[in-house]
Amino acid sequence: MATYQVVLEALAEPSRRGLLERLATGPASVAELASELPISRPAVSQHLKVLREARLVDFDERGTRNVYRLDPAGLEPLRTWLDGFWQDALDAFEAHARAVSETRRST
Amino acid sequence: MSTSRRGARPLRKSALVPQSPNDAFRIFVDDIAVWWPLATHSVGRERATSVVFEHGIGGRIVETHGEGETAVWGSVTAWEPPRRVRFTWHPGTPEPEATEVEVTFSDDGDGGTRVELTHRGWDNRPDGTDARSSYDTGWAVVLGAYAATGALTR
Repeated sequence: MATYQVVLEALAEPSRRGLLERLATGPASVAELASELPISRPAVSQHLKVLREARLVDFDERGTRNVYRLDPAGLEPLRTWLDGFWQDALDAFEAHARAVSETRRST
Repeated sequence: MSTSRRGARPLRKSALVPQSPNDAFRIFVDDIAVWWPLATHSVGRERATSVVFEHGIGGRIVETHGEGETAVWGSVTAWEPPRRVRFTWHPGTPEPEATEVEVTFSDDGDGGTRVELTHRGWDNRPDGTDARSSYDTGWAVVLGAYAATGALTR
């Protein structure tokens, strides 16, 4: 399971966001991605590896080549993180509001 | 495509506070610098010194850190005290892929207030145009999730 840091690091690099943007329009092979984007073929492979580890892309084998596509399963860790983020924030708000209420009652 | 939408459903959280909706709304907005966990939930982290929630539509939520640097977390798109406030959410990142947070305050029937927070917009590009294909493949969800967490996680 990818952690949210792995997903965020994968998303933080502009070339990788470019690859995701391209794959959002449809699946493509490494050769196709390298010809369409200003990224060398070895670099495309390297970026795809990172995106695969973050589970943001997956591939299907078609003969001798791999065809890559988006795999939004990678977003679940981000969602889990965000859930904890808002829980912490609302817990803090609740604790403060209760403390204000207690102060008012005792004065 | 159902698998691409799993991460996109709105996130909901709630809290119960002893005040009336009127006071709860005021505390939420005007005391944000007191109650918000700035050291962990901010762009500047331990360098963050304050956060201000400006009133009214177009009002911004602004963090101050370090030597007076600022980071805008979002801006108000609905301002209906004491019932509802809604704002864009793009902490520390540019606005284009902002998601949206709505907070409602309702009487809990026992003198207190139920506060409900909804974070949505993961599946929705604000520009509307050209969003269809990316919506189907999940790219809008990726962008939305990225914008939602923004720089708060670095």
